[in-house]
Amino acid sequence: MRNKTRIKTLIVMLTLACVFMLCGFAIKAVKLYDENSKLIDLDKAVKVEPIGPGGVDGTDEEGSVSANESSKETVSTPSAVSAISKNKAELKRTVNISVRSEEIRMDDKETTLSDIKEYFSEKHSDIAYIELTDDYAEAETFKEVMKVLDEAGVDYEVG
Amino acid sequence: MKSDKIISKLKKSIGLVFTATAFGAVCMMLMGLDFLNDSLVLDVNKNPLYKSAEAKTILDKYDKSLSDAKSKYNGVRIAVHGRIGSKKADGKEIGIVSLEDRSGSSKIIGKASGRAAISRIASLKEGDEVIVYGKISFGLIDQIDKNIYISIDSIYSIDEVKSLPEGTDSFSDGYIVRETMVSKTIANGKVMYFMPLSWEKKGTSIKKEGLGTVEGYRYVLDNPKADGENCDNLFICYFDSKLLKNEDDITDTIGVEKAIISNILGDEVDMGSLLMNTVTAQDGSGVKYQYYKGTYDSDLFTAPYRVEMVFRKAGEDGILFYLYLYDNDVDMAKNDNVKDILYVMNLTRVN
Repeated sequence: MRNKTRIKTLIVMLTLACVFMLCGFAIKAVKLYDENSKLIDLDKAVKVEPIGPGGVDGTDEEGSVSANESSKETVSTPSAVSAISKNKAELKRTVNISVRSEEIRMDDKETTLSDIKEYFSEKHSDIAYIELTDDYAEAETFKEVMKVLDEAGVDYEVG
Repeated sequence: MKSDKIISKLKKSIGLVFTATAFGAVCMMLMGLDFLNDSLVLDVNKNPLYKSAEAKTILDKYDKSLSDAKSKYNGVRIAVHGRIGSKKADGKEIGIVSLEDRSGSSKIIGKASGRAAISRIASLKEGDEVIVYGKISFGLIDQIDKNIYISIDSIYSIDEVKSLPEGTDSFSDGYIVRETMVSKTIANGKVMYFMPLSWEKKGTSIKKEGLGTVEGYRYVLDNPKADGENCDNLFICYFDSKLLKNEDDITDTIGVEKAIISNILGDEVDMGSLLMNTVTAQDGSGVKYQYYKGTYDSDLFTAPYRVEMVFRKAGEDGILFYLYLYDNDVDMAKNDNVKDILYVMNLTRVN
């Protein structure tokens, strides 16, 4: 009688274990919306020529970079003594203004001509450069943005 | 009885299986730990940034207001520029004073426990001008212990490492990216990272260049091999929940990470073969990074690349990830790209 109880207990435990295992298998894997496209095609990436004297294939959507680059210097391990420039490492930022149809965006946030005018009425010494992008802009809107920037006396590049 | 024997055999079998599984799991865990200690090149905690400060600045603040000094410096990693004012006989403790004459005799007490730091202190003497890298702390009970302490991670004479402008970030070996830094925003401004200006010439939009469907940028960085081939590649990407079949799955962070890895490295990638680790940044930010490391074969005839992917949450609807692809044969100890990438990771802001 006692042994029958033990056998029943063991069977119940094994059954529960199997149920838990099956539940584990039943948990669905996370799937991407488009399983046929690569988020990053590494095969393609490693075949593209590196930038340097040869340049890369294609261009960055940010357009050309201003030649405002100081040489990179490192303070390496104690055995090396390097000549270090006195220049302070600066944190500067790029401002992106894009115009699509009649919509104006600055650093990915929607804005208006008057906001841009107000913003650039103050000097911002932490701005490295400003890029103005024509993203299928309505012609008059784009011209007005250029006019506001010109009147504010800021340098910008059209990309 | 027969049923007793059956039960006894069953118990033994279950016990054996359980023991074998537990033993196997412990072995795998130990092997993994041993691997991980040496192999994560982008570990933010092993390569934290230190803020440079003059000893005078810290001591002046401390003399003016202990509570202000504590709130600014307690627990912060600092590269202190000062002079050795005293040195204990055991060679493990130094007093750091200001370079300039100042009123007040307070000093910062530097304590070294690592062999390298102790050995360096032995070669220095009182009066030497030094840069000391370490974490600042204050006496536990203000009324009894009014000292500022720094636990020394590394120490250099000013002849070896030039002084750094106050507030500059550097690594404990003195490495600093002395370039103008520029910012890049992705994910509609949700993510902003700072990078050396020279990277702009090395960067391309992933989507625009037909390199993939995820939002982000790819940077091609030279490595010490310098033969023009097998350059390092760094991808900084934002994965939006809209890229999922079921957007609600974004809450299953591990599941999403696995889906991303399988997509990029191929469905045949064995997730079990990847080294995994979770690192919580110890710079006060509390940011959690999930690491995966493995190899990537571009074709059968070249040595495989190493790939290290680092994920962090970016709001409720997205994940920011870095993918670093580098040549298997490169000596990473000499690869400055790692320091630059760590710089970028430390300075990334997620709104």
